[in-house]
Amino acid sequence: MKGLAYNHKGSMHALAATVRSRLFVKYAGLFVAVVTLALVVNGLFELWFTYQEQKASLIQIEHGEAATAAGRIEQFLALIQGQIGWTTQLPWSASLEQRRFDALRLLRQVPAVTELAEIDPQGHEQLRVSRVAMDVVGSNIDVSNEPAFTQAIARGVYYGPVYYHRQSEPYITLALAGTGASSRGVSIAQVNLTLIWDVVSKIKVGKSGLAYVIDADGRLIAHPDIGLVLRKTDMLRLPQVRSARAAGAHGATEDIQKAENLQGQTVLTAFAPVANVGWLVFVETPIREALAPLYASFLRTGYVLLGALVLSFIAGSFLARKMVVPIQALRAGAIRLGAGDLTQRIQMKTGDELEALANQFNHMAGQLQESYTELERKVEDRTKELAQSVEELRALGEVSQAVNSTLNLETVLSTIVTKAVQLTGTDAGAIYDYDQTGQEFHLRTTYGMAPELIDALTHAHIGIDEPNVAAALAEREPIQVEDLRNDAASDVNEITLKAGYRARLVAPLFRGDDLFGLLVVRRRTPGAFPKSTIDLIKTFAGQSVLAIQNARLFHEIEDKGRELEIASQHKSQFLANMSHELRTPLNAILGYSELILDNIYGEAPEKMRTVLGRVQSNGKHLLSLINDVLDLSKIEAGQLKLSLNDYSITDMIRGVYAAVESLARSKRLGFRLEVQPDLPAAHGDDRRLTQVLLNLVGNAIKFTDQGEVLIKASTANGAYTVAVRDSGPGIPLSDQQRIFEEFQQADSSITKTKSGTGLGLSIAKRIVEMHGGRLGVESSPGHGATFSFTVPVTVERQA
Amino acid sequence: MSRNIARRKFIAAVGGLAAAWPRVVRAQQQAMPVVALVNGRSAASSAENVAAFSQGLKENGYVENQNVTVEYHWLDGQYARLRSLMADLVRRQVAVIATPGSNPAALAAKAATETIPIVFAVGEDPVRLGLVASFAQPGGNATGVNFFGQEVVAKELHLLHDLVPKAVRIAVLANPANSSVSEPTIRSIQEAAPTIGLTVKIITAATASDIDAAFAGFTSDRPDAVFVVPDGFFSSRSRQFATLAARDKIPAAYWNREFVTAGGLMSYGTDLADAYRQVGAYTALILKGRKPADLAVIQSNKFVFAINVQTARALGIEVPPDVLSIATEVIK
Ligand SMILES: Nc1ncnc2c1ncn2[C@@H]1O[C@H](COP(=O)(O)OP(=O)(O)O)[C@@H](O)[C@H]1O
Ligand SMILES: [Mg+2]
Repeated sequence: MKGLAYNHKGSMHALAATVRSRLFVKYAGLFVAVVTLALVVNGLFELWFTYQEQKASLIQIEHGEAATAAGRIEQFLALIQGQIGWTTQLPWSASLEQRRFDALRLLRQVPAVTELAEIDPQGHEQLRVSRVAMDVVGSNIDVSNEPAFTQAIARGVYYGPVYYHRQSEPYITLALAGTGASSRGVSIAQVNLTLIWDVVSKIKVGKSGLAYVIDADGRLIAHPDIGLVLRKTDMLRLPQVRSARAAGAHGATEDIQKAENLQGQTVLTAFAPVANVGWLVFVETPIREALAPLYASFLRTGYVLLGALVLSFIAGSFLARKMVVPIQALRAGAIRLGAGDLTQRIQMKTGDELEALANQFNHMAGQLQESYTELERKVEDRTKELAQSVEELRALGEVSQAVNSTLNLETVLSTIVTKAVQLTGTDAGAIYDYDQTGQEFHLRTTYGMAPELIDALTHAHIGIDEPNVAAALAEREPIQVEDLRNDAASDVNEITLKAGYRARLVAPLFRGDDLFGLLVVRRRTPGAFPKSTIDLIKTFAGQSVLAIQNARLFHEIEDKGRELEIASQHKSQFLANMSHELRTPLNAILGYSELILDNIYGEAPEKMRTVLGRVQSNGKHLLSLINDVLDLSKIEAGQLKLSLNDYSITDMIRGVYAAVESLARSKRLGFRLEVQPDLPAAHGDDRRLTQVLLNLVGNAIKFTDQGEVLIKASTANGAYTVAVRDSGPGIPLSDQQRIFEEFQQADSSITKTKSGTGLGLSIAKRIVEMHGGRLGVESSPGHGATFSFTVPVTVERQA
Repeated sequence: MSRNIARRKFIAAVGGLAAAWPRVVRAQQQAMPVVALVNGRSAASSAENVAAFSQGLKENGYVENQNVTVEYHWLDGQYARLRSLMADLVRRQVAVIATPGSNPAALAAKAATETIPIVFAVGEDPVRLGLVASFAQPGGNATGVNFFGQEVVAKELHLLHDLVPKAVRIAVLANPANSSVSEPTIRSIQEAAPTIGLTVKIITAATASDIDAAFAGFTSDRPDAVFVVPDGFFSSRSRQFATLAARDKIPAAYWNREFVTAGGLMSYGTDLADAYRQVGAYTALILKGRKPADLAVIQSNKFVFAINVQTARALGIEVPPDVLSIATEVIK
C-alpha cells in the first residue's frame, strides 16, 4: 500500500497541476461566460433596438423627403396648370395676335413650358408658340382626335406620358380645357420636366440616400443618374416599386421597406405618390448607412464587453481563487496523505462545508496513521523475524560450508561456536571435547570468552557427573540454567558467574551412542532461553557432531592412504630389485646352456640337448616374464623413460612382421600386412612401440589356432593407428576391460590354457599412454579380436 | 455567401472609418487634375462665361486652384492653332478638355484624342457632328451640352420682325470659317424668311476688317436690318458690331445677350453662360470619375430674349409693348 502510493507520487503531482488549472479555469470561465453572455445578450438587444429605431427613423425621414418631393412636383405641375389655365380663359373673340403675345408671355413666365398650342373648340389648332421655332398662327390643323384634346375636353385636364426630346430631355404634354362658355377650347403645353430632375437630384437622405420618380407605367422619369432615366429603365422589376404601385395612391397596404435597388444594394426605401399624374416618388438609402450608427453602437458594445470581460475576469479570478484555494489546500493535503505523509493536517478556517471536509480528511488521516503505525510495527516484527531466519539460514549455510569445505576441525568448530552465539543472541559459547578415558570434558573452542575465563575453565575439571551435564547427557537434549545464582553451587558455576554470566545452555554432542563433547552458550542476563534458541543450539550441536565425525574419518583415511602408498613403493622397489637380481643369474643360466648346446663344452648327448632345450625355452620365458615385471615395476615406480627419436612406422611394422612371421607359419596361420603406402616419418620411442606391437601380434598368434592375423596401419589427423586383427576365440565383453590390468587374463578356458603372465597388455597400454595415445580392443567371443593403438605421429614429450 | 458580403461590408465600413481621414489628406497632397478649356473667343469677352463654368465646377465639388487647375486657351478666332494646341494637351494628358460654345474646338479635340474626356457645348446636333453616338448614351470620350443654335434662328428672325416690323430686307452676316454653324444657320434663315415676308442677303466676314468692310458695303446697298449668324469669333467682336450698327443706324439681331449689353439692338438664343455652367458641372462629374460615355448629352433650355431699349430709341424704333412684355432682358 505504502509502496503503491510512493510509486504514484510523481504522476499525482502532474495530475494535481492540471486539475488545479482546470478547476480555476472552470470557475473563472463560468463567471466570465455568465457576464459575457449577459452583456452580449444586452448588446444584441441594444443593437437590435437601435437598428429598428434607426430603420424606423430613416424610413420616416425618407417618407418625409418623398412626400416633400411629391408635394413640390405637385406644386410645380399645379403652377403650370394654373398658368396655362389663364390662356383658356381668353374668349376666342380676342385677336389671335393678342393670344400669341399672351402665350409668349406665358412662356416667358413659365420656363418649363417650351411650347404652347391653343386649340379651338372644334379641335383646330389656332396658335402655336415655341421657344425654338417660329410662332404659327391660324394653321387650323385638326387635332380633334389627339388624346390631348379629347381627354382634356372630357376631363378638363390631361397629363400625357413622359417623352424625351432628342432622347435626352423629359417632357410631358399637359392639356387643359377652357371652362368659360366663350373660351371653350384646349391649351396644350409641352412641359419640360428637367426641374423635376433638379428637385429629385437635390434630395439627399443621409450620405448617399437618393430619390427617384417613376411614372404611372412604372418607368423611371427622374433619377440622379440621368442615364438611367434616358435608358428608360423599367422599374417594375423592383419589388418595392411593384408593391408601391399596387398600394396605389393610398399607400394603405404594407409597403416594402427593405429591398434591393437597381444596383443590387440593399436599401431602406419609402415612397409618396404624386397626385393627378399617378407618379411615385421613391427615396432610398443604402442599408449600411442605416447601420452606420449601429457600428458605433457595436463598437461601444464591444468596448463595454471588453471592459466587462476584463473586470469579470478579474472578479472571476478573484472568486475562483477564493473557491479554488481551499479546494487546493484540501487537494494538496489529500495528495500528501495519498503520498503517505499521514502526519499532515489540513488547516482550514473557511467556516463552511470545505472546513468540514478538511476536518473529515484530518480525521481520516489520523485513523490511517494509527492503522499504519500498527501495520508498520507488525511488518517490522515480521521483517525482524525474517531477517533472523535469513541470518540463521545464512549462518547454517556458512557452517555447512565450513563443515564440507575444510577438514580443519578447529576452523569448523570455531565457526560453529561463533555463529551459535551470534544467532542465539547470547554472549559467549564454547565446545568441549569428551575425554573417554578421564570421563571428563576439555575446553576446545571458545567464542566471546575472556582469557581468564578460558584459562579457568581449561584447568577446571568438568566431569560427566556435573549436574547439568549429567542431565543433558541423560536427556540427550539441551539443558538450560535460567539463573546460575539459583543453580546448585559448583566450580564451573562459580567460574562462570565470576566472569559475569547468568544463564547457560548446554547441549550434548552425540553420535549415536558415542559422546563427542558439549556445546555451551552463556548469557549475561538471567532468564529462560526461547525455544528458537534451543532449536538453533540443537542444530549447531548436530553440525558439530558431523564436523567432528568427518574430521575423524578423514584422519583415518589419510593415515591408511599414507600407509598404502609406502607399501606400494616398497613393492615396486622390491620388484625392480628382484627382477634385476633374478635376471643376472637367469642370463647366466641361459648363456651357459647355450654354450653347452653349441657344443662349446663338448658334444652334448641327445638327451641332455632335449633337457637343455627345455631349460632354454623355460628360461627365456622366465626372462621375458622378469623383463615384463621389471618394465611394469619401472613404470609403477615412475622410472620408465621413453627415449624419443625419429623412426619409420612402416619399418617398425615390417620388423615386427619379420620377427613373428615364422611363428605364424608354424601355426599355419595366414599373416598379412595392410600398410598405407605413404605413412609419414614419425618421432617417438620406436623400441617401446615395437614392444607394444610385438605383444599384440604375439597375443593374436598365440590365441588364434586357425585363420589369419592381419596388421593394418593408417594415418589421419596427425596420428597413426595400428590395428591387429585375428580370427581367434575373441574376448567376452566382461573381460575386455580387465585384460589391460596387470596379471589379468580373460576368464576363458581357451585363453587360460595358453601360457602368459597377463602383463603384456598392461605394459603396452602404459607405453601407448606415455606416447599420448590410446590402446583398445574390439571383440566378441567366436569372432576374433581386433587390438588397435593410436599414437601421434610426432611425440615431443612423454605424457 | 451573403453573410460574407455583409461581413466584408462591415469590415470595409470599420476600415473606412480609419482610412477616411488620411485619404482626404492624401487627395489634397496629390497633384491637382488639369482641365483645359478651349474656346474661339478672346479672354476679355469671356469673364461671364468663365464665372458660369466655375460655378458649374463648384456645383459638383471642384474649386479652381483648390482641387482643380483650369487652363484657359482663348483662340481669339485663330482656329488654325487648334491642331497644335490639342496635340499638346494630349501629350500632357490633361484630365478633361472642355470646349463650351466652340464647335471647331470640340471637333479638333475629338479628332486629337479618343481617351481624354471632352465636354462640349454645341449649338448643333452633336450626333450629326460626330461627337456622340446618341444623346442618351454618348458612348465615346465626349459628352456635353446641346444648346439650340440654328434651330432658333427662325425664332430670332421672327422676333426681329416683331420688334422692327418695317424691316424687310435683311443682311445676314456669317463667318465662313465656322461653316459647321454658319451653313445650316443660313439655310434655316433662307427657309423662314419668306414665311414672314422677309428677304435675306448673305454677307460673309472672317476677320475684324471683314466686318468693317461688310458694314462699309451697307452704304451702297443698305439693308433694313442685320442678322448676325452665331460664331465664337463674332462673339468677341460684339463691341465692333454695336459700334458699326449704331454708326450706320442699322437694327441688328444677335444670338447672344452680350451683344445687346454691348449696345446691340436685340438678341435671342440659348443662355450661353448657362451652357458654360452645365459644361463646368459635367467636367466636375468626369473629374469625379464618371465616364463621358454614360453621361447623356443635356440640352440647354434657357433662352434669353434681350432688347436694348436705348439702342432702339437711338435707332428711332418704338418698341411695341407686347414685344417688350415677352423680353427676358430689357437694357435701358
Ligand atoms: N588376441 C587375443 N585373443 C584372445 N584373448 C586374448 C588375446 N590377447 C589377449 N588375450 C587375453 O588377454 C589376456 C592378457 O594378455 P596379456 O596381458 O598379453 O597376458 P598373457 O599374454 O601373458 O596372457 C590373455 O591371457 C588372454 O586371456
Ligand atoms: Mg601376452
